[in-house]
Amino acid sequence: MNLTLLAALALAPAALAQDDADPIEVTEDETEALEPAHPLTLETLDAEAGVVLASGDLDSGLHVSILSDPRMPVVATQMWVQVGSAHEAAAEAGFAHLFEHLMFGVTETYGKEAYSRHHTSHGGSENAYTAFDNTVYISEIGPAWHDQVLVFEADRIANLVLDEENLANEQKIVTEELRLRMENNPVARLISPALAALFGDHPYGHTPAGTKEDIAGADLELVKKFYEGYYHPGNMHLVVVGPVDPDATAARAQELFGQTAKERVEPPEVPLLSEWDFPDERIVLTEDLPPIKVAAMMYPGPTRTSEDYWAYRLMTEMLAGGELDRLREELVTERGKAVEAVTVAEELRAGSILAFASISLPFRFEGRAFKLLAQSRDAVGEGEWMSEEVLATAKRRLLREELERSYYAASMADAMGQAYAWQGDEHLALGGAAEAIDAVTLDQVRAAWDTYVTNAEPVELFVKKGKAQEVD
Amino acid sequence: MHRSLLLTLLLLGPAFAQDATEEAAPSAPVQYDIADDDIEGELRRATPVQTWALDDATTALLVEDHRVPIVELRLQFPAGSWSPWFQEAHVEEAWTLSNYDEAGELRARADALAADVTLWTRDTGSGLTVSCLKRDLPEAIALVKDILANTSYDADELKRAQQGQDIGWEGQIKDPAFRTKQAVARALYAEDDPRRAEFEEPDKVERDAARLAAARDTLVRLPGRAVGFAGDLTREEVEGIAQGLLPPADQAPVNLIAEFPPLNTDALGGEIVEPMKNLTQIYFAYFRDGLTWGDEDYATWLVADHVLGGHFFSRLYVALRHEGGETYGAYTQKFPGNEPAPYALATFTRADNLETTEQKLRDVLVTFHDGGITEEELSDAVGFFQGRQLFDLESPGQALGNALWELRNGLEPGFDQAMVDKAAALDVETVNAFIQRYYDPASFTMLTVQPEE
Repeated sequence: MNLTLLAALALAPAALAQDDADPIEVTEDETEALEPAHPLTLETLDAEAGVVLASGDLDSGLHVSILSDPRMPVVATQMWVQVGSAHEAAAEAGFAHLFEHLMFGVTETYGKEAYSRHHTSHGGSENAYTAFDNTVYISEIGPAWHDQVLVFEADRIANLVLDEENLANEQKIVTEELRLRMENNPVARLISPALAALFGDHPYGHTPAGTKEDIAGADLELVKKFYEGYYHPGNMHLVVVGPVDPDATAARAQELFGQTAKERVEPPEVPLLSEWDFPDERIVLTEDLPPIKVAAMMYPGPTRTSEDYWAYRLMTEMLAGGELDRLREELVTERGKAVEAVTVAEELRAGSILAFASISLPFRFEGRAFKLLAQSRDAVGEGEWMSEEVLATAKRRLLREELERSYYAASMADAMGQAYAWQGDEHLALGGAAEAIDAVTLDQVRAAWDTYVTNAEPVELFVKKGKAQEVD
Repeated sequence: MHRSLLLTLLLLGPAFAQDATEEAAPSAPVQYDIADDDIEGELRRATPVQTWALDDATTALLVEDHRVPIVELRLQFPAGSWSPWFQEAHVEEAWTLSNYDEAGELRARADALAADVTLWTRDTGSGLTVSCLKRDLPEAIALVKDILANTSYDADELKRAQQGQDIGWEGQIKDPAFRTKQAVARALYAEDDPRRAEFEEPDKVERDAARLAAARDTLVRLPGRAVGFAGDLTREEVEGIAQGLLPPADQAPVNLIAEFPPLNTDALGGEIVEPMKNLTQIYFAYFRDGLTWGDEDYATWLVADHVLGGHFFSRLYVALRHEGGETYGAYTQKFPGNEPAPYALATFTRADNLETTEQKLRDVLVTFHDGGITEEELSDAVGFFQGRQLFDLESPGQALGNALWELRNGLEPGFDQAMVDKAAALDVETVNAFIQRYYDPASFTMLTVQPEE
């Protein structure tokens, strides 16, 4: 849709409203014609720039967010499915990912190549990924070709053809992907055993790649059940960002996605990390690594909906979000007791993980490595970084990142998708979190440190050079 | 490398993607003024790059964009890892550790700024990038000047850099993706080719602070440097900042520019097997020498390459993934530049699937060579290149980065757009004649990295 038409649509109601000379009489028939073509709410976020958000639920249960920004040159479309590897049943490890692959297959309407070809023949890109908590289908394309993307998306949600031949082929493909990512270099081989040891029976205890055994055991009946139940609009969120007409796109979404014949199956709940029973014993793994030893302490943290989430988030930002990683400064720069050290903060829907880790040379004994790490962790807890200045800087850094993100349709779509998936509100990615961030005090940050580090028991992981992990 | 090793170890499991094309080498960034009516002309973002001479040795650039109060500063110097001087003077550590002063003050200041400060090196250039809120720019500029003038290097950090380098090297040689590239580089590049350096065990880190400071000082005084700004700044503001940001230019060292020996193309056409421990897959690179930017067939090559291995339903993907599931990824990898570099058809498969996959790979090339491409494939390729132009207009930083890339590689402004225009003017006969000449299987060598017996 070109700017002229967009401007005309935007201006038309204003023109009507300003025109007092010719009041418009609306007849009963025309009243029906004026019924909104979609149930979404439109909000102007930036009147000068023409940025509008249309959001809400369609009749089918699909949540839709359309961020119309005429300054962007491309349209990003993401379909967030609230199903990931954490929702797989026992003996179905890797199903969510396998299914993601199957979604690119033949439909009752289109051949296998159609979706991809539409993108590549117009310079667009398309992909998908499966994570622990979500599966996300992503598209970017010029605005002239965006409508067809919605058509394809609606079609594969409703009309996917699942057959043995395609299933067999994709089983082979995802198994090759598993080998690529999990088996053929030392770090890759550590991921599965580390997760299994760390999480045990928790749904986060296996990677989205699954296992070769479970992938091989997938059959068409199970796959169809997955599609019919989980791939229901009520478990999904459509995000569109770019130079689109919000009203027209909303109406199109209602037309294409507004109805469904499927019966929704809600994905199972994933146990909160804050309530999980993590191992007391230190986890020790070996692998054919370079000559190093890695010691790590991992602390479960809050979910994004927790009351203290923003205090925790700013704490991690202050710890390691800028140029200085406080643990590294303490353990490596000041004390010289490790070759390298790092603070890692990861978020999952069921909670966060904060990890402190060191890399030492082979002479460092295991016990000593952990003692040094613990000392530095405690020293960090007493450190000067817990100050108003550093807190203010961390808040400014989050603001800068949000502003930088606003250039890119895909980044905005990603942030909105995640905000809705994990916090139930896409507005949090559109400046909606500013107030909450601004309100965080230093005392709250200190309290977050005390709660999630000082008064918490970490899970310990030690990795040393030795025999390579066996793979099936 | 060791930091990413650690980070990868601690990540809680990767996400898994449908499409492996991210494994392929990324295409070069482009700067466009879109003229094609098929692109949404009304929505093209005019991101003109203002360019002027600061002095005889320095170019200034500005891409104005006042959407948000973010600014980006990029310094660029015309010496990268391929330069003999760069290698001998240890500019890699001299430059990238410039902000590791003994007192730790420079990084502390960067941390306090809410800015991203990155010192980077590439093959043909090095630079510094700062991204910050506009209100933090004066402090960021002051910090940059102090980094450029820093003469103290943290001795302990230099020692750690050596340790990290040793660990990183040990890790790299256990990575089949690296070993594949290394084998190709060793086959094509002469021993004294400066491009071999990144594939061989690195020299020891220079730890003499005076030598490092001298090397860094020479770098920032090189003629041909650039000072670029993007974001919420006006020309007037930039002119005030840019002048005096860098010290006066000086003469370039005599061995600044690399001389590249010809590639070892005589040996092409055979087979190489590289054994490796602990593999469950075999990695293929079916390779030869690639074209250069200056080659008159370069645009034609882009079209052919796209059809062969540049997208999810390319010839390689269809044969090796969609028909038979031999692999998750099958694509071409090219490293275009002013000198010829390797070009490969690449894939991987499980260890017991060598013969089938190798045969399919060879068959794809034979069919491609003998049959060429169709009108439809040509049209799709051109459509891809044209549509792709929109993606380089999203941020002012992209436009600046593109312009700096052109500058350091001696390319005319709008180089990539010119190639798209050239591609759009091609006919299928011309493309197929090129494919007949270039994609002769006899010119390709088959490399496999295989599990050691």
